[in-house]
Amino acid sequence: MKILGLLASYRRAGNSETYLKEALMGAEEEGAEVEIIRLTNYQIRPCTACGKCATGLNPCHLKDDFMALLERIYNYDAIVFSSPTYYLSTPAIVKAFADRTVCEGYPTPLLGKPCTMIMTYGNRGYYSYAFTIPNGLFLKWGMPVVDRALIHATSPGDAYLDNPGQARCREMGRAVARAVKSGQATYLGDPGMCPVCNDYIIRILKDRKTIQCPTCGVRGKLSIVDEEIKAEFTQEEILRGRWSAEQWYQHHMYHVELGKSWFAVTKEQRKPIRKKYLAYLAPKVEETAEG
Amino acid sequence: MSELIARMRWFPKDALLTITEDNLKKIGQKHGVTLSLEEVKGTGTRVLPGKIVVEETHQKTIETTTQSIVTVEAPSEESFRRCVRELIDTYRAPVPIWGLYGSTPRAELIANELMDQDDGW
Repeated sequence: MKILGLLASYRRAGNSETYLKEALMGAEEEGAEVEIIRLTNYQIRPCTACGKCATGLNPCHLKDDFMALLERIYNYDAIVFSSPTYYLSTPAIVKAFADRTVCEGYPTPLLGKPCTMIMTYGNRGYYSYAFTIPNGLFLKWGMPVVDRALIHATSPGDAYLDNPGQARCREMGRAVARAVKSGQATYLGDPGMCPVCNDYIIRILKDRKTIQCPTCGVRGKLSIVDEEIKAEFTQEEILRGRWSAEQWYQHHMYHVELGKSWFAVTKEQRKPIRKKYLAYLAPKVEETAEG
Repeated sequence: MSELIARMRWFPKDALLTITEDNLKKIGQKHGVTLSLEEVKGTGTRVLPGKIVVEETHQKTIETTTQSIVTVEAPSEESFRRCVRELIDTYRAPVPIWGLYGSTPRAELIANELMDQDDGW
């Protein structure tokens, strides 16, 4: 049993790394071999939306560390993800990594393998989208989530002083290892509002009657019962969520790949218009940050 | 021929309900609009790891891929708007930008406006 600690923090022995290591110690107690991959050690260029991968037909053509890293990640039996919160969400490296996984297709070798997520944040209330990107990434990978923790740790090393947080993460590591051993990944975390991603973020659609989980795409109804906000999603709607194998592929086959045909049938219309935009404010020399 | 002709395309799993001739007839009659249904069945499959079989679309055209196309021909803009709105309420809006491919420009403009009104409802 090999469990990966996937770390999205640049800082050595910082809070995210400390909590991750506690979780991995817990996994070791359950008999796992553990390793850490620090995403910030690798060159991961932004996706250029070239479309050459065609959603799993070809590997990404960008020359950097991404494809080798992805192949390496596939080899583990479970993942403990740990990241700080920057600007209400995960650091850019996580988004860059997630964007690039469009080349994978579905299912990935991670399908059915359990994961758990640790997000640290610096200030109360400044973490609204902490789980949005990791939820999308891990649910798209088809990995059942065993637990999620959102932990307050601001200065470097605050985690060293946080015994309850350490204990929580250690138990998360044990739980994910037990899930690998038993083949049963039961969700142990906060149920949240969305029954799929368990996040609390709810989007109100413009009809002002319907709510949607912006991460999973499932739609439901909001009600207030005994002054408590309830979000209700039908089972049918949950199955329509965008992270199931079937929905993922329907989306890519019919909404993404047909883009090639759409581009072809409208190509002649685009040509003269494209020239106009290319010519307007065209850079005479390569742009630099200094201008 | 009416200038307001929309060709609304629902690809597999896009529509909330199965689109049927009977239901379209009811909606069309209610608004005095002609609705017709064309079911396109694509050919060719791709087998994925895990033996999941999906339709091969990478080398296909929009017209030859599996979809339900509802053609809306309305005598007036008002009836067109009411009818398209009910189609969206019933089945949800077509999803990709080519979901109105083949429509007349005015019909496309109005249908897009209606689809954007309530986030695609």
